[in-house]
Formats: sequence, structure tokens, C-alpha cells
Amino acid sequence: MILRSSHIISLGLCLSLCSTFITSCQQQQSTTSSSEGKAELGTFEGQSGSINIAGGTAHIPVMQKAAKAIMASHPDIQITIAGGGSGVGAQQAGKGLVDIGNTGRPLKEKELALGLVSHPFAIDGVAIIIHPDNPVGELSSQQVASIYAGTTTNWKDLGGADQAIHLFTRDEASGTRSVFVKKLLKQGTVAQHANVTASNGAMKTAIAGDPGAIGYCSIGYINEMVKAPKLDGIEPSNANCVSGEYPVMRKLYMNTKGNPEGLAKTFIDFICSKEASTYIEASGYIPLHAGN
Amino acid sequence: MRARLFHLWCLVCTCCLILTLGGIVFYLVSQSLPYLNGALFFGDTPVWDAISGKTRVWGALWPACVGTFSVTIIALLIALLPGIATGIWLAEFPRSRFSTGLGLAIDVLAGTPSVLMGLFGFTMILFLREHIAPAANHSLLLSASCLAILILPYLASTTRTAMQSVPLSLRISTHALGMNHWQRIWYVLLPRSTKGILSGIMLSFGRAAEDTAVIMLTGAVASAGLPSSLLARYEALPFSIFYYSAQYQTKGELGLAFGASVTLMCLTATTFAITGMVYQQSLSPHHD
Repeated sequence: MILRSSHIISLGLCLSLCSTFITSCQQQQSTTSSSEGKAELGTFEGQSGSINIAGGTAHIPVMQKAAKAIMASHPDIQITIAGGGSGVGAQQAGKGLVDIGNTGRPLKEKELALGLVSHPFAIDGVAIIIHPDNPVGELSSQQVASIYAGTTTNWKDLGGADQAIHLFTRDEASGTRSVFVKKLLKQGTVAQHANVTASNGAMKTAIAGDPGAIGYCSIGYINEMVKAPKLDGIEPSNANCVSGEYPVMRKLYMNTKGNPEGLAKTFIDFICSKEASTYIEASGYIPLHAGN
Repeated sequence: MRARLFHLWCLVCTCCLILTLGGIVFYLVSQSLPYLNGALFFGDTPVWDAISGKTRVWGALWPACVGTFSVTIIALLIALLPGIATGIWLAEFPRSRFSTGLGLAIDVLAGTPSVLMGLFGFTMILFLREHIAPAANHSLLLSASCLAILILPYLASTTRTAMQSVPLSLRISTHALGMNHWQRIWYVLLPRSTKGILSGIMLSFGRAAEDTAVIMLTGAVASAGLPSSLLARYEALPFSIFYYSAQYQTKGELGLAFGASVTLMCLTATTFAITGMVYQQSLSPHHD
């Protein structure tokens, strides 16, 4: 049997990786289990089957938390959750591939023609984000529009350091992009040279790693990795979205082909109930039906 | 002088390759180290409950590990016989226009980007729903079937190579012994090429385990739990990496992505290492 040294090295490498993993496995660590509020799950009593969900990626944390609570107490119910973006959500729900297709924007005409019915359940603000070391603390909508049009190209014109502005945007299928362009840029253009990222997470990573960067993401995703400057003097926060002071926001929708029935209807009712509002808030959004 | 320069250049390139590989491995491991523990795989579920499927695991990699393993094994089961049979045909049956065409088809299939295979599966389901089975949907079986098409050419071409490398003297001996075609393949050629075929199987295993494009279009989802049946959606490691690295909200979720990367890397590195050893063995002169 011929053993090449390269194989010994590669085998040794993976063995050592495995052993690191096994030894650390033994230090069983209990993670912080989310303190889910005692939700009223009685409506699922006696039901079984599966719900398939796909679409807007911003929805996933909410759906996951709700699914976890439902499936823990009702093992006969199987809920699968996929992403794909608003466009994918509407298409798949329209084709009947999933029971619920999530979108982060109202349905387009073409999508309505598929026979979809929308169920809004939460509000999500979209904020400008920049690198935490960037001294700029406030921007006006005109400034943002001019930055994204490619007219303003240096931070020093905005009271920052003498540094080129690196533009980041989302792809065309993104619901976040569509609300940003519509509500903040007032249908203005996004310069061709802007870097495109695929998700809120990727946007955050990109901005956190580039001191000259500017981008936008869901308010729910903002943490210490990035900084959200005020827009026209208004703090981008959930509270300001509710009061209507902060204008760049959207509703999150669940969509079904025709009116929902059976398990899917129970699930949608649950997401819209007061009990599920804790999951929506824990994911960084504002429940629409909190007052119920 | 020129020869020495060339030698030096090759050496530099090789060193760069090793440094890059070392860098990637070091980066992945160092990033995932804080998360490499039981919680990465089982979350806050007791380990035995998770493995036996009694309690569902949330926000951890166990369902994805099981999903990847299932989809890969099913894909291999589907592709194994057709792949090896095609390889035998190509190696052993008289060259004709048909076999030349077949060889070309296998090569084209091997060069097809995997996302096309995923798209094929996706449109396949739409077609099935409209014309044949309205209940057809994205599932483990669909993913495995598309992965099977993806790895089929690997199985066919490794089988062909292994069988063609059987020494000519041995073939002539089988003729001298009066063996027929079937006897020659079954008693001499197949046993002689077992190791080559085995290494092909393991290569295909690694290929199927790491592919993302096919499964994300045909049934892998962000959250599904352990695969409950062949017709259910499932979680898979490559898709977990893709999903968590793009959608993470907390540092812990990004840690999951790194943890999944290291797990997948260990899995494929182990398969490739074993493959390499088996292959070396099959190339070594037989002493029997």
C-alpha cells in the first residue's frame, strides 16, 4: 500500500479538525434559549400536516420563531421555511409550490393576476447605514439621493473625512431596495457603479468592513457593526416608524393563492394575533395587529 | 539557466497554492473555533433526543448534517448502477458511432454547470405539476435525482478509466482461456478495477455533498428539521452556509455559517483523502 505524504498530511489535517471538534463537543454548552412568551396555540389543536413557506428573507426570523413555538407543542405539524426574496415568494405561492409566499412589498399587477391574496402583518423601516468610524451623523434625503445618483462622491462634502464614497445597493429582486428607491430616492437612480449585495446580512458585513461605504438595510438588522445616521434629523427607529415620523418603511406581507384554508389559515391568523407579536418584535419589526 | 528559472517558477506557484490553502483553512477554523461545540450541532436540545429525532433541533446544524447525508446517499444510490454500466459500455464494447456519441455526451454532462441542473429540476417540477402529478413539489427525492444526473458522468468516466487500465496481457489471457464477453467482465475486469470504481464513487460523494446550486433550487430550505420523508423538504450543510452567511442577524448565526463550513470541509476532505489512498493503491503494481 503506497501512502503518499500528501495524503497523510490531508488525512492528518482532517483528523486534527475532527479531534478539535470532538474535544470541544464534550464541553456541552447550553445556549441562551429564547424566552418565548407563552403563546396561545390552542387554535392548532387537532390539526396536522405541513406548511411550506418561502420568499422575503426579512420574514424568516419571525416565521422561524413562530414555527418553533407551534411545532414544539404540536409535533404533527411540519413547517418548512425558505428564503429567495420577495419575487420568488410571490412566484412560488402563485404556482402553488408553497402555501405561503412572503413579500416585503405590495404585490405587483403581474403577481395579483396569479390570484394571490395579501396578509400584511408587520412594519419594517429601512435605514441608511455607514461604517461606525464615519463621523457623519446626519444626512438629508437630498444628500442621499445625490450620493446614490453618483453626484456626491466624497465624504468631505458631507462633513466627513476626505475619503471616496463607496456605494452599496441590493439586487433588483429585493423588497428592501424597492422601498428604498421609492420612498427615499423618490424613484431616483442608483448609479451603475454601485456594488450589489444579496441580503441584509451581506450588506451589513460589506459596510462594517469598509470605512468609506454607504448602504441601507432593515432597521431590525442594525447593531453595533454599523451606524445608522439620522435622516432629515429623524432617528431611524421602530418608534419613529410607528409614529409615522420616519418615512422610509414598508409592510411585510404573507401571500396565499386565493383565500387561505386549513392549516395555512390558522398559521396566518396566529402570526397576526397578539400572541405572535412578541416574535415580530424580537425580530426587530413592529407588529401591525398588536392592538388586537 | 532557463530550466532553472522554470523550476523556480513552478516552485513559487506551488508554495503560493499551499499558502492559500493554509490561509483559508486557518481563517475558517479560527473564525469558527468559538462556536465549535455541541451547541453548534444540537443547540439546546439534549443530544440523544436530537439524534433519535424525538425533539426538533433549532438554530443548529444537526438537521443539515442529516439532510446532506441523506441527499448524497440517495443521489449515489440512483446514479450508481447507470453510471457504472455506462462506464463498462464505454470501456468494453466495440467502438461505434453510438459509443463515440455517448462518450461526448458524458463529457458535455460533466462540464454542465450545476445551476443548470438545478434549473432543470425546478422546471421539471413545474411541468409535472401541470401535466402529470399536480401534487409534485420540491423535495429530497427531486434534489437527489438532480444530483444523481450531476455525478453520473464522474461515475461513468472513472469506471471507464479503471477498466481501460487493466493490462492488455490479462485481456489476451481471457481470450486464450475461451472466456466470453460476460465472463471476462465479471470474473476479470470488474474485480481488477474495483478500487478505481470505488474511488470514483467517493469522488462523486464529495461532489454531491458540497453542491449548493442544485439543492437550493430543488428542495433545500433554511428551516425544515430532520427530513421526514423522501417527498419532504430538508436542510443541507452547503445551503446552511449560504443562508446563514447572507442572512445572519446575530454574531452567533454567522458562527453557524463558519461552523457549517468547517464541518463540510472535514466531510469532503476526509472523502477525498480516502479516495486518494484507494486510488494510489489501485495504481500500485499487483503482487497477486
